[in-house]
Amino acid sequence: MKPKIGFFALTGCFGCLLSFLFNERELKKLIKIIDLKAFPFINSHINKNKFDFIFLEGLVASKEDIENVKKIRNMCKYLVAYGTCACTASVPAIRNFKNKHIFSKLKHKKIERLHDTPPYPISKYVKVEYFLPGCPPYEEHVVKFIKDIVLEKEPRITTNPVCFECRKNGNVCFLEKNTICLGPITKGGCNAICINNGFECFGCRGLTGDENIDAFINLMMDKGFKREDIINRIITFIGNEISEKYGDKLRLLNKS
Amino acid sequence: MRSMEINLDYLTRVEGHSAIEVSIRNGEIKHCKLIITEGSRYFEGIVKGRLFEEMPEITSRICGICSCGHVVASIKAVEKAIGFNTSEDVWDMRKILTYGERIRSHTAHLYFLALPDYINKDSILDLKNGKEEVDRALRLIELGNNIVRIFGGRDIHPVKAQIFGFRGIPKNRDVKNIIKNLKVCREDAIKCVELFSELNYPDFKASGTFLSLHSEKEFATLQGILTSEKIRFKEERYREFIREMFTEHGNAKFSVLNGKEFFVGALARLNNNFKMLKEDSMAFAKRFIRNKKNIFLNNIAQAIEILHCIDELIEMLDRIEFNTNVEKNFKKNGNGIAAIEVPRGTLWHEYRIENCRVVEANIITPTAQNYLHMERNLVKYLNDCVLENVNKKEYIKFEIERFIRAYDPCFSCSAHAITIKFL
Repeated sequence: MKPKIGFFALTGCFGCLLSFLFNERELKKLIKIIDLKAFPFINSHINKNKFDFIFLEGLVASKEDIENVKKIRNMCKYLVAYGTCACTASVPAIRNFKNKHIFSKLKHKKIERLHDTPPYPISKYVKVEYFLPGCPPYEEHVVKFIKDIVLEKEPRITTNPVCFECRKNGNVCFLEKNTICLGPITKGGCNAICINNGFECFGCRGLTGDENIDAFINLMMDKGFKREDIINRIITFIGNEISEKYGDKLRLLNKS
Repeated sequence: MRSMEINLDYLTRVEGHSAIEVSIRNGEIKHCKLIITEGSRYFEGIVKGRLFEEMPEITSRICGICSCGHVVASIKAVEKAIGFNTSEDVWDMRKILTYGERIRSHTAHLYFLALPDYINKDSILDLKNGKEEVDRALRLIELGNNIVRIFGGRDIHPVKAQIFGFRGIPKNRDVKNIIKNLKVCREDAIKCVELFSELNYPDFKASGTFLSLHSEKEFATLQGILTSEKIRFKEERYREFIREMFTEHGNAKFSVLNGKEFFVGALARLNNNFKMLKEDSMAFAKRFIRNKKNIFLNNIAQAIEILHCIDELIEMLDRIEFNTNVEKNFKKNGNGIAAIEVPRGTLWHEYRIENCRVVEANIITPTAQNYLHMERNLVKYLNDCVLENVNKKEYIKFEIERFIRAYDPCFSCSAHAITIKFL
């Protein structure tokens, strides 16, 4: 039996939904091996029956998001946090680590809305069975994930740092190029695509789990980077994950 | 007529989250609200205190499908602020990246989001005999995406285009393949224009100014003067003309041009840059864009732009020399305002930079500019074209949705931010 699958989104940039569609050569085959019951982005008809898997993009950033994530949780057997927003709340969560006064020069009357729903990943509100990190998730990884669930294999996600794939690809190390490359503390599985294309890793796939964050920060400071900029860089995509794991130890609140 | 309440809790086949409420009493529209239900993400606050080099990577996340647009707009604005002058070659590469995105974005909108409305289907994938159309859509999307992948490194949230230039130049072999692909897909683009020109569009005339960049040198994309039939202004003066306000309902800012609603998008670009279109595109525009203010023709305008982009790209890629910048002289302080044309219209990024960090930012997306135009013209469309002929709620709902879809709105883009008083 083909797994019943739906693709939905909370607050987000729709990049993860699009990256599924942008498997141009594989798309028709992928749709054949699954039972795609709902994809409101491209299909007006939303089948609201039970799903086996729902791929949910986006973070919770509003009251509507909270309602929707709970509804969606009840609609499926397995919930997949699809993309970095769903896994950690990604870039919008930087707001949690900035002083509120930055947002206080607001012309808008309804300033309470700002303090309304701080940006959090979906796992803060509901149980999540699978995480597909990446901003957006690496296309081959998504295709493999879908093929695994069709074959009823347990999908795996590597905890090797990005450096493994990066070195294999023959890249010059970006730490040696004097950038704050987060490869050493970030989960791979993305084929080091950013470094392959000349840009340092910004850590969108989340921590490896066995990272030595103090050593990394000290290394960056030895290279001459300001602590503030190092912390800023680390929390770009995974602020909430860092905060949950390291709490106040990293002194995250940005004073600027 | 009668009275009815129409509540569309969620618009499908649009980018982002939105809802519509229309209240009709005795045939008259009493109120009509477009509500953007997307959560706000406050990008203009988030970037404060960050190094200017991080602007492309962060602001790219405002939107997936127009990520190249945000990357290029942020680069243009930051480079203006720090007084860095990039070479022509790098600008050409940025333009190629922008055109690649326009091809994939327009194709995805036309075939996946808009077309189902005109063929009485919920999704293009439901089309039984639609193999040819689906394959065509995927070929054009792949064409656009391959250009973005080669010049940007990734198809969504590209990394190769950065402040100071590109992080690498494409291989000759890859460029040759793109040129081959462009020539093959040209036929697809023509078929796309023919398809979208044959669809049954309501004859509707929208209110408001149609604004876009205009240039005497090229079909305006990354440079030019803001232009419409009556207005001309340079991007630096935008605050004198475009004001942003917050809605009572929803999370989006909306804009007014000299106090009134206005439209940005492919149709505005075509109207204002008609003479700069490539030959075949110009011929199609002459033939099929008669009522220049019919919002529904924005679909045909997008199809024509796909063909135009292909023709411009074939020419550019044949002659271009790829060089990245070498020197890096720049100032640590400054203010930069940039307007560029992205698939859905004019995109604005402004940054004030002090000691290499962003201290203030302002971003106005195309959909935020169109918001009031959408709301006001939805009322006009229902009054002018729909309510006299259509009685049933479900058909009125259908008309509302396909009207909104003609704008190709990107609600994620429009709900990104807060207003900050710019000192």
